[in-house]
Amino acid sequence: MGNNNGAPWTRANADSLAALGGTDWIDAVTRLGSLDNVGLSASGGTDKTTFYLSAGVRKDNGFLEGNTFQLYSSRANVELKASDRVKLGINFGINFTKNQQVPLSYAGGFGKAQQKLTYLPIYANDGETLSEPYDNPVWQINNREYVANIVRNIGNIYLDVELFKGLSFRSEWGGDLLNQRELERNNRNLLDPNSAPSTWDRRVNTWRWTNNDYFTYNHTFADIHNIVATAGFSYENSYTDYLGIYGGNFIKDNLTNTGQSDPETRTTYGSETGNKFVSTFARANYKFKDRYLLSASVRRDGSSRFAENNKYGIFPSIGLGWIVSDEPFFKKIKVLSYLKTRLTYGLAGNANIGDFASIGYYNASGAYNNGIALQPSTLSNPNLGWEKSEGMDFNIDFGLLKDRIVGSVTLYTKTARDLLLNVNTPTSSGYSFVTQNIGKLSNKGIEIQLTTRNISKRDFAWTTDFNISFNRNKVLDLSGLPPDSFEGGEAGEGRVLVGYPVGQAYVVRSAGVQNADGYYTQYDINGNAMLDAQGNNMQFFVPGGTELFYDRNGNIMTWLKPTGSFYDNRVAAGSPIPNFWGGMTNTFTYKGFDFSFLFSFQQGNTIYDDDAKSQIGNWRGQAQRAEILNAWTPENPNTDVPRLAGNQGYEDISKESYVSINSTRFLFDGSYIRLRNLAFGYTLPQNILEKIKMDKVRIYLAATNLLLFTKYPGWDPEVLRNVSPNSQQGNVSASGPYLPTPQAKSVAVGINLTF
Amino acid sequence: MKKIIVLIAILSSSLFIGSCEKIIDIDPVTIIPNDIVIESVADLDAVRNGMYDKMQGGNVLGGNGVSYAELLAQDTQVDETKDEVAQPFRLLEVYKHITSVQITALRDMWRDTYNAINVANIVLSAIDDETSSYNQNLQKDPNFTDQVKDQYRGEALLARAILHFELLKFWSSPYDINNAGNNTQAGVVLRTAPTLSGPDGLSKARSTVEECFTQIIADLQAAEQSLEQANVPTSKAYGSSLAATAFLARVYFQVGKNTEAAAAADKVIQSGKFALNADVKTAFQTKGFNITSEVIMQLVNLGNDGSNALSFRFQSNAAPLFGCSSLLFNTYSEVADLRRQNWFAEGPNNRVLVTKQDQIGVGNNNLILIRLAEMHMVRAEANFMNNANLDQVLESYNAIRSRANASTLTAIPANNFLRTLRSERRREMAFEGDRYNQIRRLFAADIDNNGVLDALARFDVQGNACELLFKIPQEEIAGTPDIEQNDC
Repeated sequence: MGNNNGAPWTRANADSLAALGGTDWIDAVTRLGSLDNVGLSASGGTDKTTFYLSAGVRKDNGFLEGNTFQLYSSRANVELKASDRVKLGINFGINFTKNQQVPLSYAGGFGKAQQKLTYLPIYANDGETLSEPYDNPVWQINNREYVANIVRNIGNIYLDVELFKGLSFRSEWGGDLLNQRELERNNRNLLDPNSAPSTWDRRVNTWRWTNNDYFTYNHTFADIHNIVATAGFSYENSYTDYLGIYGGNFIKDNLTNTGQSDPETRTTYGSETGNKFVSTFARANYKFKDRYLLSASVRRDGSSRFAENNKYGIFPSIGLGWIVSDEPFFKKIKVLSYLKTRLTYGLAGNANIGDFASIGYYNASGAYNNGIALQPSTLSNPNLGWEKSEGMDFNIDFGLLKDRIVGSVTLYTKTARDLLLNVNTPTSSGYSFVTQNIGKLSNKGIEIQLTTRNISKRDFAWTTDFNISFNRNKVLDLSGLPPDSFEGGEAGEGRVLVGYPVGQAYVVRSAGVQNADGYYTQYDINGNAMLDAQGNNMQFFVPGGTELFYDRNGNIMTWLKPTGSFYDNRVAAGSPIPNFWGGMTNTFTYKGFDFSFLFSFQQGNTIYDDDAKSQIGNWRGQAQRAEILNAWTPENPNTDVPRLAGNQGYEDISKESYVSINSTRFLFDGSYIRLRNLAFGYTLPQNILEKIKMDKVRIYLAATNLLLFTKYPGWDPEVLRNVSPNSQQGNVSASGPYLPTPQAKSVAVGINLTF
Repeated sequence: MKKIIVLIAILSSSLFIGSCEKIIDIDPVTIIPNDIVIESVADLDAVRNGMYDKMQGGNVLGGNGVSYAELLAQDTQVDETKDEVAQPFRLLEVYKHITSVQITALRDMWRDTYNAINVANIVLSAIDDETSSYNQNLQKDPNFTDQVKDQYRGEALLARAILHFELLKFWSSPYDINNAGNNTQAGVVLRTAPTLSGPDGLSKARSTVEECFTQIIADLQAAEQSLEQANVPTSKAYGSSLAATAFLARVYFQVGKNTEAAAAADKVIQSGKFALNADVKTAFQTKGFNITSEVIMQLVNLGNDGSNALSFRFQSNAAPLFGCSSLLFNTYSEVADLRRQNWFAEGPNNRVLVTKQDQIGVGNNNLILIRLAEMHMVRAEANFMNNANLDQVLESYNAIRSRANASTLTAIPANNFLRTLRSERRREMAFEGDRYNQIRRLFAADIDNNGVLDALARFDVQGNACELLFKIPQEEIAGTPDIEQNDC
């Protein structure tokens, strides 16, 4: 809500603001974006030396006001044949990116614009100063700068030696150096005479080096036994240091370097972290008569992240293959042009946790009374080890009608156990979570891919690519831990439940809205009616407009009069993963013209629309959706939107305030069909190319996300919650987006030139 | 060619040898693994600082607790239009006595308070648990003297008692004085041993209120004795023997042990170490090393190190979330009362703003944990209820009144003096989180029939009402089999 200089808002205030015309906040923070992309590359060489060089510039002015991404990239690959048996090479690339960002989701910007009341003006009555600066996304865009500059150097050198016929040795040494500087600048607030500019300057250096050394033996015996065997060693060491400096009270607005800030305000923080991985491995592929395949491998992986006695894990795999179409008898089957089957089984490890997750440790970041303070930070888990997943794949590749139809079908099943999870601890222990190996998770599915060349004439061709996946994800075991034990979101967003996919919505079921004052029987959690002192069923009063819920047993309850504890009535509802998803691309070419479009789709998942909870409720200070106009009133009793004064069920209305309660009311079908890509191009014919001395010239128009068909009422059914997708929180709360930023709709025109 | 082969042989053999187990060992640079944390008395000192640093946190003793207590006691006036309170699951719910599991700020308060208790327990085990590696390390340090042990042990016991008492204040039914010795209602989770490793053995059930108070009193008594034995002159920024005595006075009074409470308060007053400030305001507005004579113990806020949620919520010149209820303000009936003049200001729309703890200039004000005025109020009321040491009753009452330039008494009046004392306590201790303790002690607001003296009619629930209690956080419930929730 706006701050009306400390005074309560009145109708007159609101009217005078509304007279200014109101604001389309979404419009105020968005723009028509643009994208420029230029790339050049060249390759060539002599008998002894080959090279590849490329450089590119990309500038993307996104559709969010203030968002600009620039990338300058260059790359060089050179290989030198020192002798017939020795090759040396170097690959090297430097990228520079400059990313100017505006805050999103709950932090501001587009997220804030979704919440902003539309009657509030951008500018105060004088037409110049911004109203409510700290809360105003336009103020944020104008007065806050957030720029990340990243320089990344990736290089590696290698040596490849053929020791004698069939046996070679290769040694690769690589380095990856990333320097990032993030500058966060808050300008002087013109409304506050005491304010001064301040800067956060954050530096990150990540230095990672890798080494692979391995022998490869490739030999064919008696023309029918081919063996390729590899054995070697790999090592990876990565190290990251952070340093942040804050400076405030800059005397001039143009000074931004923390070195010029008021020394009294200057503070620093820093941390360093690192990890190491090592593997020794051996792998052998055996081919008999070019059609019977056997492969086997074993690797021993070690990671610094695990506890002392569990750092290493051994992971074997085995595979069998048969190229059926190479059998002599197969030549008679004319319809099938190609057929190959493969069966593989293997064990793999996962170490995706924090660098020091197994060590209990203290931090020295605090202080008291000018004395350094040491404080416990993380619980040790002396048993932490590799997460293991055991998988089996069965795969068929086929070609029909002289490869007019080609495709593949894969069936897979994978069971992960000893999952690496951050399990919430009772916080009275002094800690919030402990990283544990716990539980069992199954993934099963079918993936089908098909390409058909429907028409294939000299001037005209039509090709269709189609893929569809059916995946089932199910938690099999959690060692008895309850659903709220896993770091993720607040109640009602994703949970981890045995028998359901990870991130299952776990909420109470909505039973609509009470249409007129009435009474219900109070039940206990076992489904028995509760009795009063006289032995009669206990009743409770529910005023009209109260939000109703089903308890665990299907009886009606309210927030004020729950059956047992309100949250004990949550159930698994909907599904965070679709029944199936996929896409279809059709490509047409006619002479020099090409035209293609891709539709992608998914079906059967649900999305927890986390902002609906606050935007179809009575949250003062936040823009509401149109559904709010349908709120319960005595005149509008048949509705699913509770009364605005409050939804809890207090008879005494002064006790009421509106409580946002996670329930199936905000769980929506996330199925969609989307026209993801559309491209139209023209390639210049050969005779013209020869005249202008070019190898290839193509002019194109490409568009993304032009059409969307969905019943989901939020912005975009494909946008996930704004948390890191690789984190546990990302997995658990992905399908509960909060004030998300939708994907861009774009149209681009371009030209590809090849000399 | 030969050279290359030799080179490869060297490279590969060195690498395969290098692939021994140690190759992936890593030395942490910015974290301190548990086993090397306490190796000397200097380290122990740093962990003790860690304990105070945690206590200084906004959610622990840095002002949120005081704010919530004042909201529950409804001496506050709330600007309901402000974003922070208007949104559900926030402070407005505390104010309306409808708290739930969901209030993140309350979950954080529980967590952060127990974090601080854990550090206190680490200090205690390092000093006295001979099986702990910390203790074995310390035994080798010649500076690990009996005096050091007594001092640090006393400070940690005092901290643990203060923190458990804070938790009880919000998460358990109050101590029922009429049922003394038999308060079997659920208290909080008592933590008296350190936790450093998991994942097993992390949960613990709630103890009874009786067990909690028994532990708190035992901790305070041991702290008092240990600190007295150490006899180290310390700054009021750390625990001291008299601070332990003062907290004993507060806790005894809370459980109805009036004789012990009066004696402890009197011991602090008679010590001569503390004196009421000449003015009513400076005690609350010091920063850094400035500590006034009235303060018995406080947490020190320095520059960037510190927090004070009170100035943020009440700050009178910044359209604050909270003001003073007119009911409370009107009880300062004498215009000459310096507290009326110095602790309040008129805001827009006839709002009464609280200036008592206003932040002046840059940096947070220090956080007072206990001060002499409370000792006077305890001594006066506890003695009066016992009909003992009536000269002290009048002396303490007049000390508070005369410092505030309010009228004093020459004799104890025949009627209603208990109410007068309680009303005076409410005024003197306003916005320090004290009134909620008194409501819990008395089980109800002390409602005056005429609504004049105390003007407490606003307070509409009993002090032991379950609606007042915060819910045990979800994480605690999820991880602890059969733990009791505060269900109403």
